[in-house]
Amino acid sequence: MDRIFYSLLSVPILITKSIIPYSSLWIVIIPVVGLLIITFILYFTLTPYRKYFRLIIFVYLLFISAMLIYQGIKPRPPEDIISNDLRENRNYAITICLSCIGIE
Amino acid sequence: MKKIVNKLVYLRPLFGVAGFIIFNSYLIGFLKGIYTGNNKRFCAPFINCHSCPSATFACPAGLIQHYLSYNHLFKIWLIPKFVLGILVLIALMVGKAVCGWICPFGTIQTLLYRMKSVKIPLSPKLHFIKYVVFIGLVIYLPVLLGAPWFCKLCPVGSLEAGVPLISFGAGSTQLREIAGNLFTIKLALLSLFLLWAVFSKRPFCRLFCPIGTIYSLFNKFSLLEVKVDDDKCIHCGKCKKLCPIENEAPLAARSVDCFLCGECVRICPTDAVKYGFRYSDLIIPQPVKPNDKQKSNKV
Repeated sequence: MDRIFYSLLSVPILITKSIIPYSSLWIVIIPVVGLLIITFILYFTLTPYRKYFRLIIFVYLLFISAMLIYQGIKPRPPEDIISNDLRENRNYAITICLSCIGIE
Repeated sequence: MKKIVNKLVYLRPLFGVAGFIIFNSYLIGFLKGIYTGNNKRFCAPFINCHSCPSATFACPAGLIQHYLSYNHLFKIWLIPKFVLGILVLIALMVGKAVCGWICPFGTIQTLLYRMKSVKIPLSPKLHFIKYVVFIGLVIYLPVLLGAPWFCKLCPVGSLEAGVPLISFGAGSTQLREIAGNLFTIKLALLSLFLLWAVFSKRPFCRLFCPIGTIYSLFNKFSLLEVKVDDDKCIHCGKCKKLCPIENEAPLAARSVDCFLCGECVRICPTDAVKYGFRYSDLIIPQPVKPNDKQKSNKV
């Protein structure tokens, strides 16, 4: 059982190490989401080991959130100084939202 | 340590006030118009309408709907990566403690419930409504109709943006002229929730809040948790009276809806309930209790 846990924990790290230099981080996130789904299935089926799977799910989710934040704040040089996400957030949030006030 | 936690829990509404002040510190906005600085690139960890003249950060629920209302659901780069990443990260660290401690609208509801009145319990069975609201108003309708439908009905938006901007904000006369039925509906909803909060515990948070719904999805995996020692619990029911989700600590603490407000920690007469870190026993081996030894011998 220990081997399964360690291998499940090390997979995202190995994938990240091998892929990051070559392509988009989405290629890292998507396999981790796949692994997350498998771990969720194991979490619900192997009830005696639930607390270990919970830790693995926590690590995967932490990894995914870190990757999402990184994707969100990463600018695409040379044309961008700040990321698309942050620019879009600000452009939307600096205008008065008529729906929020209650104007159709 | 226990005394400090108890004091902090007792002073919890002050954290809500602090949360409001931190995320709404641009008070001059009521005279000059809303804040347009760089902080609006980031979002608050709770519903805090960015159309409020004093808001210094964006509203996460508004941003999610804005991205989804582009009608490009299958273009993966058009999802709010930063907002989702931040919300998931916060949820993984502290779970719904954000709702329990620093959400201003949650604090208003908590204070309203302290008013003397007839109290109507809200069944935990009704908590599924928030998932319906989240999927329907925050995801489905914005994608389908291209408009932020939760914002159209959001009582927090009415309280923080609608009422101040229409009554005394910059350009209030023009806004007053074009305000129609939707504004009336929003005001009615705001009044309903504020009135309801006098009789029931935090109805908006428990049944409608989309950000609380996101946090509750991760509540069972968050680092911070409320730990209950079942052997020490005497089922006196004191925690149930104070619990925002109206459950006894052994049930509430293991529920996805637990606000981690710590009221059960404060009130427990046997110290059976305490704050802790979820994975601490996996990472740091815990000493075996004498009771556990006896149990294993019996087995």
